Amino acid sequence: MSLLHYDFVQNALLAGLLLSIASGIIGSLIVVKRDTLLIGGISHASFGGLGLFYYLGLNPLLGAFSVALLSGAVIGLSSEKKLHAHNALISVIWAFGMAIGIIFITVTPGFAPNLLTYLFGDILTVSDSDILYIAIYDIFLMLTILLFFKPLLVFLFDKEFAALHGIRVGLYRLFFYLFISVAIVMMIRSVGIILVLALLTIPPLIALPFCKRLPCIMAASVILCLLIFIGGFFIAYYTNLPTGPIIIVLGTLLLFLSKILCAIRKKNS
Amino acid sequence: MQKNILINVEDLSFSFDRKHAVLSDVSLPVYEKDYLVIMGPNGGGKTTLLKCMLGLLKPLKGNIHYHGVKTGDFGYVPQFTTFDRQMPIRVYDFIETGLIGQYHPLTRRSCDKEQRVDQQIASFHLEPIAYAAISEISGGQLQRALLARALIQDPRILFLDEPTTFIDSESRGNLSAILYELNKKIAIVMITHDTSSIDDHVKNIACVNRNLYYHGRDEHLAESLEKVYGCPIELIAHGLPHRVLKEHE
Repeated sequence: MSLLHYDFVQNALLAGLLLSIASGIIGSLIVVKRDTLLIGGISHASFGGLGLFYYLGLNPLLGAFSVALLSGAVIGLSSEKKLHAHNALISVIWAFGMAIGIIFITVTPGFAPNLLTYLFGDILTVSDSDILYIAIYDIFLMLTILLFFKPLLVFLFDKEFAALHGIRVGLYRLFFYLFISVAIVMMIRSVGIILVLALLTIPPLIALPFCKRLPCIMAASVILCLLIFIGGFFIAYYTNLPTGPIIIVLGTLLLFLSKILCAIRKKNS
Repeated sequence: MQKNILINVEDLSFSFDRKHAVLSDVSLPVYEKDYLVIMGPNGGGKTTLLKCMLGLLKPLKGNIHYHGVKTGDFGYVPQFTTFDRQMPIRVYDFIETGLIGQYHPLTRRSCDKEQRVDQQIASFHLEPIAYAAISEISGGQLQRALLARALIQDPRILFLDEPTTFIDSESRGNLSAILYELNKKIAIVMITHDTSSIDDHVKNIACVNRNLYYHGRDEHLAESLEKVYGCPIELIAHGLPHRVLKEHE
């Protein structure tokens, strides 16, 4: 395949591999914690930073990164005792970020930037430095998971028990949301603000009914994410359609197929 | 017989919003090898009192003195609703999380730990479901897994929050037998709104509904319960007619 000789294709596939590692692990954690609204909240909030930095003439992605971290910290430091308050906070951050972003882009003189690039992403624009950042993040993430998996697991499903045994729940919570925020910003470039939600949640949702353990869900999600990425990439290339949406459509189809498979398996057992 | 006090709750008050007291001037001792049941209606502050004793909640007023025990010595069997039962975790790994207090990021799972988990699985007859997910097992099995998790680190006091709510009568019988055996070695503090879960082996009873009424043994329980619940209730349980609790002042 001559396609693989192009630098941008190699970059895109390498980015896909590295993003799949981050997405599979982080997505699994969010799905088992049943906190998927959070992804949409942080990714849309980051649009506010994007707009602000664009207005200031700075790198828009850096703005997105700062605001995502800020939103992650705000959510991480807020009380989680009442679920509806947690979800309401996420929704407000979601809408506020979008509003700020649109306002700044409107008041910026000259042509509006190509919003679609940020909303739906473009894996073909991924640069060498992007890949380096994602690789560094992956290493940090995997090290953290390896070293702190057990306390993290207890934190995820039984906070009181965790607190009783000296796990610093507040600290875990803050770092949990910060890790998620960074992962989301990493993915904005390739799949965009809107589609990041699907890429993070679809693979773990497919894996969940087939796995009894969180590490199994994580591993399966990484592989599924990679398959969806590569499959979507080539389909998009040969059909001349945008990569991000094709990746998500492919993922959704796979999720649908897996649900049918689950139903058949249940019927036979 | 004067027994050693392990935990002494003194004039404790608690409020979530600083306006409405959930607990008001509560005092309560927990003795060595005590079998204390804290009863009361839903919303009466039982779980709040337990969480204060466990150090999970900070009292608004008053003190809790620990004598020779620290939070690492507490085993805790929470209500089923306090943790996520859909979490993908196998019974084996679930029980192992009881050792989380001794976890260090740079040491891997040791033989000693595996042995202790296997031991717990054997003593609670969980072998057939050791590798099932906690979402797949019955209420009685989950209760035994919770006990195994709480007891794996050899606690000196076992706290149970409404342990009989989601289990059938056979499992209740088993639980009662397990607690009786345990009580020979360690203290037990159990919270319940279910008067039928009090059996012969219970040593002390406290009734809580914002205020707390402490009863030792052999007092008239029924009247005390009437006061706390605010309406007469029938007690149908083995051993109860022998109890005579003092009336609340």
